Amino acid sequence: MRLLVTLIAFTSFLFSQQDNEINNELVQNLIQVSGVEEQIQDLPSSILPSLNQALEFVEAEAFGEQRQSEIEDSVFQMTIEEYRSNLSEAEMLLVIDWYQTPLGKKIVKIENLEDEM
Amino acid sequence: MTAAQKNAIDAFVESFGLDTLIYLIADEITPITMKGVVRKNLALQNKTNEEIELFLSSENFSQMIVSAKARMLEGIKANKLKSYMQYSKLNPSEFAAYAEFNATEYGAKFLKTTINLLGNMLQSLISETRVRFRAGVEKQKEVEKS
Repeated sequence: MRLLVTLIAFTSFLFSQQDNEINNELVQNLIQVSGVEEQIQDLPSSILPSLNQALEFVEAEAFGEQRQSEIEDSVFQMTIEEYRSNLSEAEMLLVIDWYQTPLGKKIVKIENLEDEM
Repeated sequence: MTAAQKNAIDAFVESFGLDTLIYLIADEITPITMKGVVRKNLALQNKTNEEIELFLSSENFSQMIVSAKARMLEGIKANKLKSYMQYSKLNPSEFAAYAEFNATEYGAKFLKTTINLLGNMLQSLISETRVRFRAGVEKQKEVEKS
């Protein structure tokens, strides 16, 4: 009986790990095809200089390169978690499908162009 | 661009929450930056910390922030203009299809999550800046005391 319970627990652990991995891969795919990845990657480097400028006025410690790199990593993790907790796998698949249509691709292109304007 | 198209883009940009993000920047970053600039300028004029604090809590300074925020809000108009240019690259049927996607349950959830995500990231950076800013101010006060 004990062995059976352990086996069931282990199997469900394996399945939950597998679900988690599939989901993670899906989220990465989602943020890539929708252009979100590009947008969030640029966020720290585009906003930190102006924040550092404000800090400079009071000679406060600025966000250095190391901190910026930590922020970039955490931003990526935050993004994965946020989509994973708000959208189901089925919904992610629907969004991915839509962004792979010619119109979806066009939207990503023009939205990223706007960021460069 | 037709008036109907312009109205549709207006509603679309609002549903995106872009305005909210710009308001957030105007509300949170403007006072921090303004305080920094004013402190620096007053310190250069050899004002004491007490005099600087007095000015920062004055009505005069509050008015300066109100004007600065108003200038920031002009940015919203510029941002909308960018959006007009951006989405006018879509023909009416493409625009309608995009609006339709955003109106689906999954499209709306995706959009809302993206906007919340950007808002949370900004809030987190602003909070850290505020902590660093206060530490800088405290350090300056200590230097002046000693």
